[in-house]
Amino acid sequence: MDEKKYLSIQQICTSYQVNQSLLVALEEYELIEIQYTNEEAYLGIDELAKLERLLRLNQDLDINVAGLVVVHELLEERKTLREELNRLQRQMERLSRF
Amino acid sequence: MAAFIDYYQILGISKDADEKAIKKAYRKLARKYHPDLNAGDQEAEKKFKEVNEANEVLSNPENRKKYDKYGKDWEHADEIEKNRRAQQQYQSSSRRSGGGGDADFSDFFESMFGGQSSGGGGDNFGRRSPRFRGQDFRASLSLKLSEVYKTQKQTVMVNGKNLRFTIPAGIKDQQEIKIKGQGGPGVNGGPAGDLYIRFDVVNDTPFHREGDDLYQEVPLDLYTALLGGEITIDTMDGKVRLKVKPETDNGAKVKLTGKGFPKYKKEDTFGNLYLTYQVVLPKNLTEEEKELFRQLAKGAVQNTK
Repeated sequence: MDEKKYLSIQQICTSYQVNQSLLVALEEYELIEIQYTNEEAYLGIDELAKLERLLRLNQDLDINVAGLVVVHELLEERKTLREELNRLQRQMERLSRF
Repeated sequence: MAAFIDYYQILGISKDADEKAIKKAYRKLARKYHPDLNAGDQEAEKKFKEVNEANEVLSNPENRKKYDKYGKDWEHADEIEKNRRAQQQYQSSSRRSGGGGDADFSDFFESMFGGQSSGGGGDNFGRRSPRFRGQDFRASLSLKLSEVYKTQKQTVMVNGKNLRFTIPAGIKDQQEIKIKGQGGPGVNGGPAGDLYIRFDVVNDTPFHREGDDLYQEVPLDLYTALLGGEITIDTMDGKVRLKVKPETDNGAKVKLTGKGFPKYKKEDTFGNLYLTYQVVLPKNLTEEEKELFRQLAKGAVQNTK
């Protein structure tokens, strides 16, 4: 395992001051993907931004893990819709020029 | 001068709102303006900060009392100046002791509450920057077994810095010692990593080491083996004179208590030294010697009959 691309769960718990059980719950709901080796559990660095967002929503708005799944899915859906909307708007602009 | 901010107005509540009403209003607005739910909307982010600041003040009874006392008289210059002077003192003495650190508060809040954060109101606006431990460093150091018989100090160069540390006597081959805080620096004020030094202990002695015990084969001439006597052997600790019992068998073992290797971090305690005698038969016998052995052999044959 390339250590530069992963952070141990223990390290994350200390750094973000969160309980390991929360991370395990996030994994059970497939919000994050934890990698296990014989001795320790790790999270990919590319998952950190998503984790931070989940932790903020959990802490700032008291959203529980089941709620985070809904929020996460809706945000992803909104992102896709926005991208689609932007694409269509650009298309319309091009068409209106003719 | 920092402009007065009406926190009650921001949360949309009356001045006599109770704790429950404040919490309710805060939750509703925090949900509405949360930056993660309004990605890219700077206006929402600004509002979210305002809502948090208002909650920071009003959900904390102490802060709210202070705000109610001075806040409404904010426009009276004398009061402000007096307050500011007092706050400046308060700020310099308490600013660094606040919990959150990097929460983004208005000048008004800063001058009144000195940049403190979350006094128990239960919110978590303080954007906690993750504090990461620095990287652990690993190094290895080669030592001779004869060197680790005694506790010694060594200096190693780690990242351009000379580091002097003690290697306790009895350290084992491939054993690691941890030097706390001498690894890479932490991120965002996190603690530094540790330095791990692994020891390659190369055996330069005639002994075989197993744990704290030492083993050695000692040659013993036939005559001393048969008739007994005294021999001198070298131990890690110097020379030792040893009595050999008559009729000592080839391969017989002797234990010398406390003549083994020092026990790691147990001062003045040692393992044992185990000797195995290897009887060496005489070579290049003279005719006279051969005759004497023949006579002995005859006796031996008779003895066994």
